[in-house]
Amino acid sequence: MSISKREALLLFIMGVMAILVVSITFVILPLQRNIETLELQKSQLETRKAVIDATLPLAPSLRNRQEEKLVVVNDELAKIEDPINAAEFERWILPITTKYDMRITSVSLSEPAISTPSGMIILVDEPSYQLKTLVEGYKGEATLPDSAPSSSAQLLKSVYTYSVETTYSRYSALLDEIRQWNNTFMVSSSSYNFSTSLATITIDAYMIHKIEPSSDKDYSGDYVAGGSNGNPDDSDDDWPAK
Amino acid sequence: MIKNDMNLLARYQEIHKEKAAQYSANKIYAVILLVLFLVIGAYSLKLFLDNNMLKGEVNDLQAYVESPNVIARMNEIATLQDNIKKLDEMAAEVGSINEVLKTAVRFDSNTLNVLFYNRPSNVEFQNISFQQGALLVTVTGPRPSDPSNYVLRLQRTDYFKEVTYTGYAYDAGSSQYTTTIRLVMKGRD
Repeated sequence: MSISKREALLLFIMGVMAILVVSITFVILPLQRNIETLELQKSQLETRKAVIDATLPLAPSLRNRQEEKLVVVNDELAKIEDPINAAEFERWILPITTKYDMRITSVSLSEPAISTPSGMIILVDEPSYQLKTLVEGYKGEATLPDSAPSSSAQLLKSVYTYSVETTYSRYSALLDEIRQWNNTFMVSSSSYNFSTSLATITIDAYMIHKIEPSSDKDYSGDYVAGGSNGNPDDSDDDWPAK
Repeated sequence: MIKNDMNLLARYQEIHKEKAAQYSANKIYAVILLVLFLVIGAYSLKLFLDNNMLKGEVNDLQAYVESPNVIARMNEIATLQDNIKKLDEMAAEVGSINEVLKTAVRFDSNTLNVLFYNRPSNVEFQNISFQQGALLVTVTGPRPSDPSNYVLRLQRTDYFKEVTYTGYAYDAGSSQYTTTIRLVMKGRD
């Protein structure tokens, strides 16, 4: 069978096209797609490597920073007491009431609850009115509004209330003993009735969990407390009762 | 009428010419196919080599970034960074708490001393009550001037932020004037 030149040309073109289609579809395109995928993978890995190469040398300085910050944070945390329970708090107060021979008449103790710190600072703002503002402006004076630091940070707070019978000077000494703890246990309310010699003291105890406990207070063993408010020595009462 | 003579030479030349043209076209086709195969082959080979080279590079990079040593060191750094972030947060939290507690009002004998040593000699204490930064002091005196004298003395100490009282009452039984003074305490600097 013989074919014409025109048919031969058409067959050739079809053949060439078939070869092109087959080789592009089954060889070139898959290889190109593979290369694109590998290039993307390579670029991602190079980015990761760059990050790693930039990060790894930071390890020593990060270790130093962590240690420095740990010291700072531990110092700040150490200013606040470790969490204690009500029974443990008694080991703080009973030695003082025993020392001053106070008769404890009632005690109310709470377990730690979440709270925010209070500095018990009452803001006092003077009344402001137009003429006062003008006068102050004329005199070049300015009244700044009263302010106090506040915090929304949470910590633990227990409230312990003691009622004791004692003399005024011993009551005063008890307040000083609590003050000398110089910690975050502070008197939030207190009263002394001179006619009944009855004192009440409420202590807000702020506590916080720490990275490293900072208190070395010993709560082991038993403690025997005393206190009868008996035979108060008038010599230690240099203040008149009334 | 045209006379058609048989011309064998012309016919021979015609057939030979056709064959020659046919052979020459086949050659062109073959050359084109060869070139096509060569181009496709060369390009495919280039792609294949590129592919292999990239595979090798990717494998090397992967081996580096996924090596246990690098992963362990990166994990350590991530832990360090996380710890530093937590320490920063802790420092901010505890710092704000300490700022409040550092300036908190402390009720102790200093305050009682101020109350006592500024008291007019004929004024007597009845009750002292401290509540969340404010003091209520109940005193008695034989003269109606005693409450105001005491308040003015306390104001002059500048120990308290505010000293106020709202009046007094006379008790005929004890012949004493009784008043309650409210004192707002200052926070510590």
